[in-house]
Order: sequence, then structure tokens, then C-alpha cells
Amino acid sequence: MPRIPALVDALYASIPTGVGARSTVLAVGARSRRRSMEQGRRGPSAVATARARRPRSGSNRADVSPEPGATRSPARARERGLASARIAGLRQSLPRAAGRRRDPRRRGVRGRVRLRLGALAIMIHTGSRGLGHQVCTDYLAVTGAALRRYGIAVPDRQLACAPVGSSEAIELPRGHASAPPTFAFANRQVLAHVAGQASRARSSASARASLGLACVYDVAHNIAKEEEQRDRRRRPPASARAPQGRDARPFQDSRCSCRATWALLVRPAWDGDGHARDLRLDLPRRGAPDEPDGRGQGRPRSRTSTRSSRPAAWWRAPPGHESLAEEMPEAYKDVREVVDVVHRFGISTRVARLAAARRDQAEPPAQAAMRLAQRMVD
Amino acid sequence: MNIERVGLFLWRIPPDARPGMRVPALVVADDALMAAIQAATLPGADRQRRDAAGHREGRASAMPDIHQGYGLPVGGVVATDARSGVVSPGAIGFDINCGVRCSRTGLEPRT
Repeated sequence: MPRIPALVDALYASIPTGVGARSTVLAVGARSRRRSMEQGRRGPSAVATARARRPRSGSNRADVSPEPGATRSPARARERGLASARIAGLRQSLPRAAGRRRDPRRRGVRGRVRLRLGALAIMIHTGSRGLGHQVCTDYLAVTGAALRRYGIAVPDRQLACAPVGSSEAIELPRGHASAPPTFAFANRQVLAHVAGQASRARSSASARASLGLACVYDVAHNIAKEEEQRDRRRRPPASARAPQGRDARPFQDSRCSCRATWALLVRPAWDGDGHARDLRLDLPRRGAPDEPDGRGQGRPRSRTSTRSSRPAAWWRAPPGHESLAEEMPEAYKDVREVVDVVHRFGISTRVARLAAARRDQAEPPAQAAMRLAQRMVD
Repeated sequence: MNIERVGLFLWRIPPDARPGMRVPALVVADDALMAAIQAATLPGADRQRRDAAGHREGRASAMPDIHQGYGLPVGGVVATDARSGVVSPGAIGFDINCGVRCSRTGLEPRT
């Protein structure tokens, strides 16, 4: 089995981390990057590396099918997207000890997720700088310019919108829901493959055989999607609605093959008027800490103030650590408190906690497992 | 700010809390989170109220991780009618597809 510090070093050596970093092991040309944006996992940069390591279960695959018109995002956004594609977006890649709970409600989910107590998991976080930001900026300008034409008044220009069915609204989802997510899902799949290669290189033959790197989930936020919401208590079904927002369900569309897993990990809840509440995967989100940290708003510490800090979970500063520090757990509110509320409110079911692997975790697995289990007890 | 508690983890900002609001805003939070939201994210909560003034259906909602963003606060959720509603890029947000992939392994730390 690999030692955690050696494994972390191997991951950071193989995967570009931080804004502006470039991969030393991946050489993807501009044409391939463009095709990745248009075709997602079917694009050449993703297919060549990721096909061999697909999860065993089809229901666990994180894959999306690009929408027709994925290339219709504004030219500036596409240019920035191609530029940002060279910025391999991995900001944090820490092996984490996986745990499970004994609540019967979670038994089926645990079986699907197959997280084993004490085993390592690899978290890959990619940002959205460049492409995603530019797409939103461009479409805000488009919808802002059309407000008067459609007689829409908004209290904030950042809330500019266009009627469903208008030319602006037809073009907008294509830019939002296709090119950036398609590229980003492909990007993370490639990075996961590279992480697997690095892990194998640092593992013994027996460990390589048991590596079994498989996707548990691949989630993203700021995704717009249109879906049919059906209230089973009502006949006829409630009208179709299009959830939007930064906590909208993260998968791009109904063709996402993660759907089966997703259906197990959340349960729809309906309020009195038959409107769907937000559905959320209750596994820890980015930077999920195993110790309490910031309180208050989502990001109580500014990006600037975090750059001179060092997350408690780091035992050495990885390449690109200045920008990585922006996403450290200490920069966000206490995620356990947030998860506890969404669990108790019934939005989703808590399944597992992934704790940051520690450098001193070279203790007998049984002790480590007991310690982790103790931490996971409410 | 006029905030009504309507459940153990649910708070409601009525539509008359601010001129122009058309639908109520709901916030999912416990006491501690709500206190933190009110103390540290008043601008975000205010944006949540303003968002409710737009062309939305039902209500605007805020998840427990609500905090200030551009236009719609981070942690905000709105729904529009798919036939007669609107599409809002600002409501979707700028961090399009910022995300996380979790991969499990069969490895355990070396003893």
C-alpha cells in the first residue's frame, strides 16, 4: 500500500494545480480541447485517457451528453474557454479516508456508492474561471440589452432575464448548459485518469491490483436544466418548471448516466403547493473539513486574505498553493452544520463523511478506522 | 428585517417585506445558521428578497449555505414556468460547472 505523503506528492507531480498551472503529462492541442468542449467525454482528449478506467457499474458513471449547439456559446467565451482549458483546473487533490454510517436508511445508498471505511478516495476539484464566467458575463449583456424590448423590469441588472421562447433564451441554455459543463466533466474525467496513473505508479503490485479507481460522483453547480416535475399526490401533474440557481441539481440533463446513483442519494420532497424543493447530494462539498472551521456566510474569508494562509490539512504546500488556499476549508462556513440542516430538514440523506487523510495516518488500519468512526458519530 | 419562523428549519420573508416583491422568500436554516446569516450576510439576504421581485414562480428559496453573490445569492434557488417564465443567466451564476469528482480506491494507508 502507498504511504499517504508519497501518494500526495505523486498526485501533485502529475496533476497541474492552481490557476495558470500546466500539465506536464498531458499534451492536448487546441483542436482537441475544442472538440472536448463540443463532445465531452467523446472528445479525443478524454476518450484516449479515460475509456480504460470507466467505473465497473454503468450507473456510477459520471457522463453527460452534450446538447446540440454546444459550440454556440459566444466567441469570447469560447476563446476564454480554450485558454482556460490549458489551465488544468485541479485545485485540490487530497486522498481522503472514506467512512460509512450504520443508519438503515443509508444501507442501499452505501451499497451503491461502495465507500469502504478507512479506504482512500481521491477528490478532484476543478474551478470555472474563464469559460464559465465569460459565458455568464456575455449572456448577462445579451439579456440586459433585451430587457426593455420584453418589458421586463428587474431591481438588479445582475438579474437580467429573457422570456422562455425568446431568441435570447433559446441561445442562452446552449451556452450555459452545453459547452462549459461538457468540457468540465471531460476535464475531470481526464484528471481522474491521471490521478489513477500516478497512484498506480506509487503502489506495489498488490496495491495496483486493488486500486480500483471508480467514480463515486461527479457534481457541479451553476447548472441550468429543464426538467419535468411531477407531484405524485396531484392529478394532473404539476406544470413543467425550470430550476435555476447556484444550488440547482448539478447534473446537466436527464441523459446523465449518474441518474441511477443520484436517485438513490436524494429523495424528492414536495411542499404544500406541489413545487419541488431543491434536491441535493449530501456528500461533502468542496473543501469539506473534518474539523469545524469558519462560521457565518458561505465564504467568511475573502480570496485575498486566504492566500497567505495554510490549510490545516496540508503538511506541505503543493504547487500553486496560493490559489489553492482560496478554496481551503477554513475559507468557508462549517460544512457540517450545513449538512446537518439539509439532512434534518429532509432535503437529502446524509450518507458518509470523507475526512482528510493525515500524514500521521500510518497507524494500524483498525485504530485509524475506530478513530474515523468516532469522528463520524453525530 | 421581517422574518417569520414557519418551521424548525424554515423561515419566511413575506412578499410585503419590500416593495416590488411578488413572491415570498424561504430560507432553510437552523437557529445558529439563521443568526449567522442575519449577522454576516445581510446583503445576501437582501438580494434574496430582491430576487423575489423578478419573474419567478412560487417562491425564492435559500439553502443553509446562503451567502452574498451577484444578483441571486449563492445558495439561492428559484423556479420559473417552463412555458411562460424567464431564463436568467445571473440566477444560474458565474461559476458554471465548478465541481468535484470523487473517486474511490481500494487502497488503505500503509501501516
